[in-house]
Amino acid sequence: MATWDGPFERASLARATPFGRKSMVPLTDEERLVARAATGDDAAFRALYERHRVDVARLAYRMLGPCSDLDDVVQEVFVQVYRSLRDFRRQSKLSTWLHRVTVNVVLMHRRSARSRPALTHDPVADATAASDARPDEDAERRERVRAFARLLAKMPEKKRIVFVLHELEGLSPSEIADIVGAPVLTIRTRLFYARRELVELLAHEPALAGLRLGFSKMSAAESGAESGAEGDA
Amino acid sequence: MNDALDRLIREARQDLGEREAREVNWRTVDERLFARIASEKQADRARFIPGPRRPWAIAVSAALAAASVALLVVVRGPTRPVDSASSGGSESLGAVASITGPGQLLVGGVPAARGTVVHRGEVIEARNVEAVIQWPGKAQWLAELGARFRLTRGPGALVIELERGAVEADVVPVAVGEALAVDVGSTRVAVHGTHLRVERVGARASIDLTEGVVTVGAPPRTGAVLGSLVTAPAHVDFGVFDPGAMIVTHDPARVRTAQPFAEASSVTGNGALTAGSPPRALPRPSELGGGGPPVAPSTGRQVRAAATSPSAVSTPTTTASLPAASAASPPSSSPAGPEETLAKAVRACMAERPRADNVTVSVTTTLLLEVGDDGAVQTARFDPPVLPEVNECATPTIYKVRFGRPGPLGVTIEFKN
Repeated sequence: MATWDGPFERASLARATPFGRKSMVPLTDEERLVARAATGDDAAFRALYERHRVDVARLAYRMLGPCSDLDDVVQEVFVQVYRSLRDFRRQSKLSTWLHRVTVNVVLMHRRSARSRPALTHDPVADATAASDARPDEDAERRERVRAFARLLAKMPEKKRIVFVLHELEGLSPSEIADIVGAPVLTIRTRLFYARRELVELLAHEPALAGLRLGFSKMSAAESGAESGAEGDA
Repeated sequence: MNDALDRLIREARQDLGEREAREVNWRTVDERLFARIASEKQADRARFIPGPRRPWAIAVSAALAAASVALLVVVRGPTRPVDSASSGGSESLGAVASITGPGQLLVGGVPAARGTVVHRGEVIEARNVEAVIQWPGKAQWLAELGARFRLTRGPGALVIELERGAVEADVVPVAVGEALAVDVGSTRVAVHGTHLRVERVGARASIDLTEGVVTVGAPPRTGAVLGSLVTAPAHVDFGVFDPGAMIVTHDPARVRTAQPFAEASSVTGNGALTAGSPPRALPRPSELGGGGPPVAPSTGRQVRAAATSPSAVSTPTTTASLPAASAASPPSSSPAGPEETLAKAVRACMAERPRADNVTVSVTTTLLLEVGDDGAVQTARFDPPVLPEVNECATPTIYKVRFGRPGPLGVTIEFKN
């Protein structure tokens, strides 16, 4: 909740309405942190960093794939955030803005890394499995996620970014358009072609033949269970 | 097929990157991030220029400031403030990281302290002190006893105009152009990376290049220096007004050993230099004079006298040298330590590469490592990069070895068939 005990907080409450006048709306906790961090409050910046760093790291990993530079990328993202926080106009959500900064840093990193092959230990690291799954299901699930990461890595950069932001991060096409600076229609087109490309890659990836079979079995078992349940009812 | 893709997407949404994001070495990221931010803040403060005011207000402010400075000078003696912008808001080119010795470091004619920001155009003089100046992410350089130089900017590069004495620089390599240049007389030593020492005595100058490549030639009006390309290890002697008549030797015994900057800074994963703690120990007067046997300091690092002794000069083509943190380890450490194991493995991988019989391959690279608390390697990167096949070949060994302490580490590897 907003506090009302300081001139800064009071000043921050004035927001432009769609009609051009200003209304007094209480700031959220995060908005107050952003406002304080933008004025150079280190504690506020640290709080924002600790709140969002895992999300930034996950997004960077999803776009970069396994690489040894994830730490550096996350660090660079927050350095950019620190530098640009004063210019953050709160026209979008902080999370959307963070996505934009992360995407830009990832793109810069990939460009600079093209001539600098990085070492990675494991081509695709293990993914966390659902806690209630059986060991064999865990293994299958991990293998599927690995396969998916491999497919993503094969996609062209623009499509991959749009796909990751929409399908994995849950952003809307208009938010993605804002992040990557492209028209919404272009984003939708890229999403369409990204899905189509992934479907083709699924079909031509020998390592996924077993997975497709597994999915078929799972689907059959689930539909059988559903029909059984309907019969019982 | 779409069902299969949707299922994959659902699972990836939950799992992909989740564990990796939580397993990031947050302690290291925190340290580096906030060190960089602190450094940027300091640079920002130094760049701050007051906005336009009314003339009478400026006059009053100037008079008050002058009175304050005069009072301070009377009370405390002249000292340059740490965050001074006395150079009129000119470009900041780093800050003093350490000063060691009984004398004074003068920046722009004013005694400086640790943290003092140095600006373009300022003359720096090390009067009976040694000082390390860091420009985060670009370079750090040591002003040796008696050194005097001016800092300027060339096209894209920091330029140290050396008037006398010696500077030793550790330079973060740049992909294109020159990272740093040292001007001596009418000669420019353009540094592409990474470690060198330039000394000027009267009309003569010498370069000790321990790592990387430099170009020696006349300063160009624009663009890069056109001159003689010298690769490490090398010792170069030349007249400061006659760079054409230089004498180059690649005999490692003639090359002065690099002074490690490990205590004053550390190299981050992306190659940036971050400020660390203070100063390296100043060699004792007896060591500086070269009289008597050198005494090893308690930190275990090499002292100047030992560095100048031919017997103390390492042979870079035979073993891995450790310019960063590991260089500080005592010489009695086991020769088959993890660094050597890594270097051997990488050299073996390089040796496996097919090549023509009449081709000599010479590779110098630094393996930059981030070691976790358990001693295991968290990240590894070759700088400059090596062939992907060598990467792949060396990876199992790199991640198998265990180090005695966590933190960033650099292992220089040299290979020649």
